[in-house]
Amino acid sequence: MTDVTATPFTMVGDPEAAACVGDSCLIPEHHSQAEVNRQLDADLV
Amino acid sequence: MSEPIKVDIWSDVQCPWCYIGKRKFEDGAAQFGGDVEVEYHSFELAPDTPVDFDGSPKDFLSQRKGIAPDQVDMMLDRVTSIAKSVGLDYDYDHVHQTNTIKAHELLHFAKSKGVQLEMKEALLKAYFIDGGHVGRVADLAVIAASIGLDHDEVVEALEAQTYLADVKADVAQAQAYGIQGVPFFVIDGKYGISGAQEAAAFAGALEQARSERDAS
Repeated sequence: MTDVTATPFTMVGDPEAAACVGDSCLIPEHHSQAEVNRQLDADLV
Repeated sequence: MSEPIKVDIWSDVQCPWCYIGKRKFEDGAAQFGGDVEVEYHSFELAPDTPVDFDGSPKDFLSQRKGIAPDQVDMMLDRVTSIAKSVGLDYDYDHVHQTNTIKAHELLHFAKSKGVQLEMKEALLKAYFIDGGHVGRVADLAVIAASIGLDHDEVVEALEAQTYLADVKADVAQAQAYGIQGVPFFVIDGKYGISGAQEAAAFAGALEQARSERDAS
């Protein structure tokens, strides 16, 4: 996730959304689970 | 007729969340329904990566981050699954880990020709889906030609580093803004959105920007 404390913008949206920082592209647990839940809802899993 | 809402996006070509975030942003922009002008900006996640890195993303993550190979497999499986949910078929078995500086120069070249969005999509597709190489000038020129750019002109511009200063300016701007990760979206110069957010977040920010314009 991005440290946005220095940005001159009003930050909106989920502060824990998946992003690539440095050479690491981590997957937040809640994000992954949300995707699985969505797929379950759509009968894709 | 009002001016389109400007959206500046910092992104790297070999960032899996950037391609996923691109699709979610496009979905959000469609939900918004108004005029949107998008400009991509360069962000290098791993600028010290060799162009001809000898290994896969799995090797890269294992060597760079010290992550166990089976854990890397799990991470890549998960991101591939999430990509699939937005219609992208990532093929990590054939991804060529590389240095993206030339790809960013090409994006600036494409911007000068009015086809930056097409170039961005072609580069992401080449890297994540088609097993293309996005670090070598010869390969990049072929990808550029596939969207109608002149092959030889691309080679000349990339070999001359014509747009290198523009890439560095984008990176410096990101640092000045405190942007440490990508994708990073700036809506109308006012709202920042970090990461591969849901489409509704983008649609909401675009709507908010339009409302503020209408009120002023």
